[in-house]
Amino acid sequence: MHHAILLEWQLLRRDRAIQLALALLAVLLIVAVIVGRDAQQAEIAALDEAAERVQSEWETQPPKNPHEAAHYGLLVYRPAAPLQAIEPGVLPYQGAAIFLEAHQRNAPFLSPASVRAADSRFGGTRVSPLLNLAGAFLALIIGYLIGAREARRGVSPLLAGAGAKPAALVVAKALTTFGLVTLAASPALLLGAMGLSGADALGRFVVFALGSLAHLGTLAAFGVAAGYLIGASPGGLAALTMVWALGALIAPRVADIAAEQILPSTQTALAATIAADFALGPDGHAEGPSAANEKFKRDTLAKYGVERVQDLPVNFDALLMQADEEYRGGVYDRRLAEADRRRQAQDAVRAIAWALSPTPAALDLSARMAGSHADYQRRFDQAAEAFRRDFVERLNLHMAENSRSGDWSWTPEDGYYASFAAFDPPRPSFAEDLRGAVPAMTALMLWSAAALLALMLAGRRQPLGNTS
Amino acid sequence: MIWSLIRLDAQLLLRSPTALAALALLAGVSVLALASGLDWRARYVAAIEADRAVVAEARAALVAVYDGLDDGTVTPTDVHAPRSEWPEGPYIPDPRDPYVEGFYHKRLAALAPGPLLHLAVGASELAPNRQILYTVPLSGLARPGEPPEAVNPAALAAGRLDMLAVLIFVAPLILIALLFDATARERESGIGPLISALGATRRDLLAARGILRGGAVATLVVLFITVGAILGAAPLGTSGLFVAGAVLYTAFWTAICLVVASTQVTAVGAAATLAGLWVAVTLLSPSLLERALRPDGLLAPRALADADVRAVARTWGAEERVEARITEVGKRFWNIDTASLPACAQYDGPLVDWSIRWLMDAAYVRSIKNGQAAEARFDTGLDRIGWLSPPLGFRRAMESVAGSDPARNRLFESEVIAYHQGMKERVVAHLLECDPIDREAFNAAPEFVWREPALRSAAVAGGFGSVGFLAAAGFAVALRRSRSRSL
Repeated sequence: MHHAILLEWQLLRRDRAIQLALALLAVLLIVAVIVGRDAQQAEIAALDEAAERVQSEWETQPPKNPHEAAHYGLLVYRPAAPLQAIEPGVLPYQGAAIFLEAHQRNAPFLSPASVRAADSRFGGTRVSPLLNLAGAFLALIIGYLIGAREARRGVSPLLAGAGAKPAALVVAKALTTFGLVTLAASPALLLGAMGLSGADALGRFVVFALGSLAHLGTLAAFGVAAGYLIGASPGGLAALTMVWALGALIAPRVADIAAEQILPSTQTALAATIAADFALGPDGHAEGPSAANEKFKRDTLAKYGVERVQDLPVNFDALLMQADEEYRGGVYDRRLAEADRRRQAQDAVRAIAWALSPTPAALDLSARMAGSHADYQRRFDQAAEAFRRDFVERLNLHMAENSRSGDWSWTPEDGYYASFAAFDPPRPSFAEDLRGAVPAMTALMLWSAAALLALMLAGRRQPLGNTS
Repeated sequence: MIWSLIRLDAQLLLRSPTALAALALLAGVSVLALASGLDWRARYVAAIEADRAVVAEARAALVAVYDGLDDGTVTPTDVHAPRSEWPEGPYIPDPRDPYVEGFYHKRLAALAPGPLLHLAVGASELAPNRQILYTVPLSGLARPGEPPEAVNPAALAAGRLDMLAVLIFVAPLILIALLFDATARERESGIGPLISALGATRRDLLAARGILRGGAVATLVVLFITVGAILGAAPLGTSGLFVAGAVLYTAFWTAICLVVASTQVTAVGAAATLAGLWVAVTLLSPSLLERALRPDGLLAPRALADADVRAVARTWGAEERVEARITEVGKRFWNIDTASLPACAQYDGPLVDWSIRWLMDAAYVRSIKNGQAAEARFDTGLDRIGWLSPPLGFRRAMESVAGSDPARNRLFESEVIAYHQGMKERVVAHLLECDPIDREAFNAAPEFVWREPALRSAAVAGGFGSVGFLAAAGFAVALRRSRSRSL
């Protein structure tokens, strides 16, 4: 085994094409680390500045009625995910800001990609896509070329005659290929790790790096096994390329189409359902008679033991606004949870693509470890909604308790709006994301096991020699 | 000789399970891409139609008030009377009052789907395609970058498999599978001398394989694009241009395959080279070039737009600044001295509201325009140099043809801003002249009309020119290299 590995390294020292390809990958990855960090800082600086300025404007706004202030609203901005510079995941394509206002849960808007749509979504310049797409493909091809070397040159029978054990040869080739791609990826991974601080970020990075290297190793092993078994066939490499492209690039998108068709979910339909539900509940700004408003009025009068709204010790309008908020909040919770279950079912269909290639699972793992997975966006959305409800409730109740029904000109005391704390975005925990990454890690492990099996299978057979 | 070789190669192709599987794969993926694109187009249109129904309902309610006023069955609420004096019962807006009409007369601004949106989805999944407009500040209505329809986040990040994606990513792979051993096959299987003895040169064989196999892929792609164009009822000229682009791009990759095949490299070497080129050209070059040209602060103006609006509201919103504000807006934007307005125009509410809205909109539009200008500069840079990455230039060209490019979205946004400004000016004119909006004036309010912009010829010329030139150069190099060489 030791001799076989040494032999492989000696042969590779003479292979300028492979050295050049790996050097290019190493340089690209290093550039990706630097460029990703810079781009990330610029984007986050813009969002942070906006968040600070909007909060400051909220605190110093001129006197106004609290419900008017709730309509005037507030914007919150998404913070950077822990390793977003390395793996942007879904975040460039999801809204980075949410407008929080009374009565309405707005969808996130201002996705970074919406201002630069020329970006190719089949690649990207960040470390993870480069490593897990271009790097993994390179590992597969180099593995194939190394695995097929003897078969292509027609010297397999010679090696067999010299007593070389196929199993040792195959393992040596696989270890060599894996060592090469790891060597190419290492400078960028080390550079990436140097820019991190805190155990959470480092933990994430270690899992990301190990997952990516496992992915590269898996493809290198498949490449070696394929090269060793079918290396003499002229069409072998082309077929392998096709299989990789199918599994890594095409199948995930076909699965996306399948998920959309099998489990359709549209914003238009969701909005119609929500609007229909809203029509059944209290409406703080109803312009016509409303059974729900009448019921709330009866209940409120009964609660305070008075006959007329004017006799209430509180501002009925503000209470009605709050009842409207609470009812609508329930509708949003119910309907969005349904939509979310549908999205999760779509994700389950999408995960079929994991059975065809390890790459989708590796990309999922890297997005989860970076914190740039769809779950991060959902947590941001949910936290913003919880913040909205809290701040609208505070405003409504402050108005209810301090003014009388029908009085819309009342304004709160100076400094009232400054008493609102700024939105504190959720911080994803490594442990939580690690739990979410279990399916992807399991899939990667299964693929790694399959790659080892393929190597074992190759090691038991003599390669098909070149008969030409 | 070439035609004989084409016939011979056609027989080989028909007997090759790998080649047939590759072509079947291309066909299958194209069917899915078409279905996915048409589905997106349907969702895009349905989202517009849902808002159109909302606007129609709001308009019908106002028309009913006019009808009721005509036959004396309706008494609208006087919004300027103290709220405590409002009659019991539902609030009835009075569309004759410009202040009220401006709020209740909603109009829809919709970006019609591009003629070939279903073949190249482009930026349409990321940018808004419609806006319900009325005369509250634009910052309260427009949400830049709000997608027209929700798409599963992970699927959105991966990108939709449309016909353009098939052309850029899948078709080259099929060409590589069909052409990587265009000459090496005969050379390595030892039948080269036999074919040479029949009078065929390597150049003939390359040309024959290029024509047949490249032609087969191009024909399949064109077939599906044509079906898509028919299903989407696309204009003939646009469809023709899209087809021409598809043929050019197929020719570009056919030429690359032939250049590699024209060398003495082995079949495995050719496959490795082509696979590496595919990754470098298709996956890496667009991202790297786009990233190199993209300025970092692209998001900032839009991100800060709302903060700018709020700063204006804070500066001018205080009670004690109302008089000064109305005077300022009258002078700066309405070209009038508000103090000299007739008494009937001196409504407190409207002038107070409208003056601040005007200032807020001015700030918001300034920020958005700054963002647009930065994005347009980026686009111009891509138009100038994007062709250095053939897939990037080609993608931009095809999205321009299909009507799904970012420039079209920006134009829509500008049109929305201009239309909203027109809505406000109309209402303010009525307000300042104490001129109620009668039914005739209500009906005469202009609707938003989207006019399809001219084709962005710079993007199309750059994208098509780049792949066309490289295809021609590739064919020339391949044929020159293989001239008079025997197999």
